[in-house]
Amino acid sequence: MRHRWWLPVMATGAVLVFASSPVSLPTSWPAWAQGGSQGSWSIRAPYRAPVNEVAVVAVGNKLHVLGGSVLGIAGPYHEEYDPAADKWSARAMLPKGLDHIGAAVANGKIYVIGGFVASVHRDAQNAVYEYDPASDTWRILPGMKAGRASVGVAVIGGKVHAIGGRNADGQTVATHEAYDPATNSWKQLASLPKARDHAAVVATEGRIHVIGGRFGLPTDKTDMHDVYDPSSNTWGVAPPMPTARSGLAAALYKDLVVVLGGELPPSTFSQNEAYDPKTKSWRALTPMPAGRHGTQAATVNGELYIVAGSLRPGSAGVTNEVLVFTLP
Amino acid sequence: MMTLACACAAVGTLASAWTSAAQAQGSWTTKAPVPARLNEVTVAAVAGKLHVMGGSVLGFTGPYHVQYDPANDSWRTRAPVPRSLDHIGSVELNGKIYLIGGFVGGGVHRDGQNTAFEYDPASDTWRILAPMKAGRASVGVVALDGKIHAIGGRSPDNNVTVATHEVYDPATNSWKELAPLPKARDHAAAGVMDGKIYFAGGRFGPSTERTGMLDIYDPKSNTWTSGPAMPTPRSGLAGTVYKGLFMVLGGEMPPTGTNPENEAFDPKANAWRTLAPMPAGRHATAAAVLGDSVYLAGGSLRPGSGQVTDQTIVFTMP
Repeated sequence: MRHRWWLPVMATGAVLVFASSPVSLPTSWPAWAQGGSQGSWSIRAPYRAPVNEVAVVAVGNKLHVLGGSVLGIAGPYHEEYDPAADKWSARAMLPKGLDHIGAAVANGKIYVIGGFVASVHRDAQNAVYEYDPASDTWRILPGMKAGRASVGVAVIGGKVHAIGGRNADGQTVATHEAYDPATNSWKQLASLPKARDHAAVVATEGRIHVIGGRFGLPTDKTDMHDVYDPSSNTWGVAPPMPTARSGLAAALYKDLVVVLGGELPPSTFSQNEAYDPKTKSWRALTPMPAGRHGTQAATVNGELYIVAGSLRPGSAGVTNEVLVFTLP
Repeated sequence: MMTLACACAAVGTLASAWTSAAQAQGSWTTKAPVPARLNEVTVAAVAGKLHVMGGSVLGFTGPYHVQYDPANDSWRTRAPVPRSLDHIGSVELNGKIYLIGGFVGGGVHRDGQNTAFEYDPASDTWRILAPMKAGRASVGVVALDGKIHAIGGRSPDNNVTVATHEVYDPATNSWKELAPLPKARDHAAAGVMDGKIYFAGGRFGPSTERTGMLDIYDPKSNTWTSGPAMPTPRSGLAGTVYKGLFMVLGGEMPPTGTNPENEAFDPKANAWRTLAPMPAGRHATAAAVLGDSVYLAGGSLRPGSGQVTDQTIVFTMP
């Protein structure tokens, strides 16, 4: 358990100072600390264990946090968060203990794709599971053609796209496959322009954005921003992310592609940057109270959540913090 | 971690209330919590450090292995146990930790295993040893005369308790069967004093069938005799030998209670003593002596898997 107190972020978002001290977290940021038009952060009930390399999705106005590593053990952890009650509950465990899972929601069901069996980046799996929140049950689906993890997953046109990742030999791949729930089958599509993993992958306005990531080692980070058009099965290029990074979290929030955090040994990123597909431009939002990676983000009830992860690179500083970002 | 902060505050308040009784009965303090809440763990001390192994986190039984260093009051992860198990029995012998049996998880008391593992803290590695003759878990494990005794437990066959008593010899990596317990049970406490094994409490079947039985094993005659019953019958308790006393701590009492009791059998007086109770009742944890104190880590503050805790509590007696 790590208790952290941080000094509030300036409205410019340029300065971030924090110090460790064994006191409880504030329940909300003081008004003078809020970021105005660049948004503000608050804190919710923590996840019930410090966990990193988790998957986070929202379905049915609830947040689901899946897999990841607790005490260094990749497990089939599955907890559901109810924002209305600010409360966590245990849900049916994943069919397998995995970390670095990719996850997305289609037609009210959660799709969980790939993952490593243990730290660090060990033995990527081709596993694919479907979770039905109505019955709290899992179904095992046909596997991808090969194992990969830290794969970017996004849903477009009712199909679940699995993009990039790292294979069982530890190499990044450009593979792009899509799962069609209607036919329960996978199809290979146009590969990413450059193989990578630990990227941010978000679908919006009929396109999939693949942002940042790494080509190999965590230091091999990139600001690349590729955009996939399913109608032509082709990749195009969009303005690069301002701060190159990998191991970042992403979510669609208020029509913006928001990318948060990431790692760059020996530190982590607190950056919160947003791409606006309408203006085709990036803007800086209020940074997170402290840098983190090894987590994902999801939007529920008009708020963006980022859950747990690691405050320091690798598996260091594993946290149970739940942060919420809101824009006016 | 608001919940934790509140719990610690409550512990502090209680602790100050006991100061008057602390002289003869010992006292409790808290240390850095385990980095996650976990229950049905086993605990052993070796090379000046405390090891917490196996058990369940967020309802998942895993090969968890964390080590506590009292010198800097901090935890770190160590090589995972070779298998995911809860309700493991463990003991230290000759600088190594032995883990015996355990349930596989995915439900309560499922599929007791016959596994035996040896951990070497110097190399942070595990070795798989010869298995017991049959699977069992929640087994009492102690070291006596250079051998590891595994006593009682729960069998995977119909989930019944067993009286089985086997001994493992590290020199030959083999098991041998010895005189069974007078009455089959599991979730008991075990310890060794003056060349004899003390086996106290436990349950015969469901958790409501708890007992205060104290059985004493003499290796010279390979026989069990009865000792004075534990004052508070209970199961799911922790046991250890500390300053010449066989201490038994905690336990569960469904549907709502857990035991804060801390009782100790004094072989010289052939009688039980009451020591300072734990800050709160708990079960599904284990105890080990490290330095001049008794440590308990993790467990559940409520019966079953209720209110799993990350607390590390430490008992010291002058």
